[in-house]
Amino acid sequence: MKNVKNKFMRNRRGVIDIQFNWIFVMIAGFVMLLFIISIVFSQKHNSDKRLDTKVITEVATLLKGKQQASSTYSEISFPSTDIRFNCQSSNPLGMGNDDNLFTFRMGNSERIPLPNSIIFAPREFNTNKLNVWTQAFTIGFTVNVFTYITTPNSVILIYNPSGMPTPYAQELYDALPDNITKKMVDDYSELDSYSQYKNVKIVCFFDNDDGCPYDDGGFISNKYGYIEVQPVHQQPSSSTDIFGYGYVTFRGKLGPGGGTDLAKAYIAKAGLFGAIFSDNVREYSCQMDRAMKEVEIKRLLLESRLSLIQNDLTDPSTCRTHINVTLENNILPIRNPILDIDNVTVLGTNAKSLDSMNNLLTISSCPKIY
Amino acid sequence: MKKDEIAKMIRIINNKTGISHRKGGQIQMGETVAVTIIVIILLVLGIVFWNKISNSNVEEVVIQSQELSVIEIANVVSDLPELQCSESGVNKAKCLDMYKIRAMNISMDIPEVRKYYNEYFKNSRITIMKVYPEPDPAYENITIYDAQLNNTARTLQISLPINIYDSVQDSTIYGLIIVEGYYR
Repeated sequence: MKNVKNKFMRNRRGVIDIQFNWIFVMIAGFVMLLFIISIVFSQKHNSDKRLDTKVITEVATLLKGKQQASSTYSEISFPSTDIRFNCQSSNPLGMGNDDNLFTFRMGNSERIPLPNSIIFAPREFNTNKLNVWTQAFTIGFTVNVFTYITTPNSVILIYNPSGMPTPYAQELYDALPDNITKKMVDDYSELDSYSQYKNVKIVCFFDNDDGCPYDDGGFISNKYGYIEVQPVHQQPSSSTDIFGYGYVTFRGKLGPGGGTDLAKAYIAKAGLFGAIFSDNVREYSCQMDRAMKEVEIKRLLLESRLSLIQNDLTDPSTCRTHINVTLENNILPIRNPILDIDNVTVLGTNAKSLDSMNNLLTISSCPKIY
Repeated sequence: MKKDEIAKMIRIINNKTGISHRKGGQIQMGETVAVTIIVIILLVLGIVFWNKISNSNVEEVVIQSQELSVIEIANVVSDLPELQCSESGVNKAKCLDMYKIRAMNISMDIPEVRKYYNEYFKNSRITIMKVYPEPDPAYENITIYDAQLNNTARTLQISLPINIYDSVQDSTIYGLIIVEGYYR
């Protein structure tokens, strides 16, 4: 009896042992599996991050390289990813010379700063291709090369109503590169037929009469927003006035928000394109703030150069007089320039005056301003 | 022999065999452990060796990258519109304007200008040297930018030939852009 009992207990113990073994094996196996899965995910994450970093470094290098040449168009292709351009200004609507930080990010990569690049692009988008175009920003002297970025999913609609055509529309249309999707629209009803594009920019002109689409109920304003360009007429006026200086009003969705519109100034062809390619008024203001800081730096260099030339020219000298006049009338007065509605006329006329002065110096066989 | 004695002998033999089995098993286990230890030592040695090779490869890549960086800076200097000669708004290649060079040299003391150009010139010293004809000693070498970094391990230097145009004398002289990169 005792033997039977002992044998029974030994069997029971064996059964429990076996069950515990299995439980232990399952727990241990599960933990190991979790560990391996976590390693796999972390490796995948690191690999994605390394790829994003590699791609963003190459794209950033290409973008910085584009700055060296003006009026160039190129395309950059890469795996489809999210892209973010971020221009931070302590003063969002650009009412002064505050420190602005401009960064660029692709996917999950780190933000790459682009401190000396002025880039007008949509703020956030997903694409596998960037269309990159450059234009020199010149206000009498070259300041920088602006870069404009669009995607194949972007379109620029230039509104030129058939009832009130303006030469500015054709001028702008011809100035934009052919590789960028651009359309001339002469009827308000056509504007919504381009809704398949993710990024739609509508540009219209205020030329004596209001040439912008009659936006009954604010449909176009709310859905796309639009930019109203009002060039300041030069004397004598011409269709190329559009690339001198003037005002741009960001309406509806492109405005500061809450259904309000905001008017800003633009100067030079590059500045006007900046307004067209910007995502909204904040981005435009931020980038133009940064551009105006560069104007001051280049102005300082120019002032220094002209002073040195003036000192080295022997007296009496027609050249010395011309250089002195340029310094007094054109260079020194635009110290720390701010681009706003009140100041744009001064900057615009000054730029034209510098061009004229430079031509005069060339004709007089004098050292040129730039 | 009696059955009991036979059984006893069988039990003794089994016990002895068991002991030798156990001893054999211990020796086998010892061998396995020894092999495992040797394999681990070899693996560790291999990893250390591979690590050393990788490090030296990384160092080579870093040096190459630094040299490329210096070349890039030199090319940037020669292409800057603030330094290039220009004629009717068109910049001339491989030509720097002497008064622009002197203006940049003077203006680099202004903090905003220095901060701006730090992004282009980084950790380098950039000197424009006039070579031919014999220059005025006062303006023989003009340093337009100097990062002035301390505790640097080494410098890399590159020189690019350039024309230097004097807009007052309307003459061109031959010179060099010398870029020295500071690296730890």
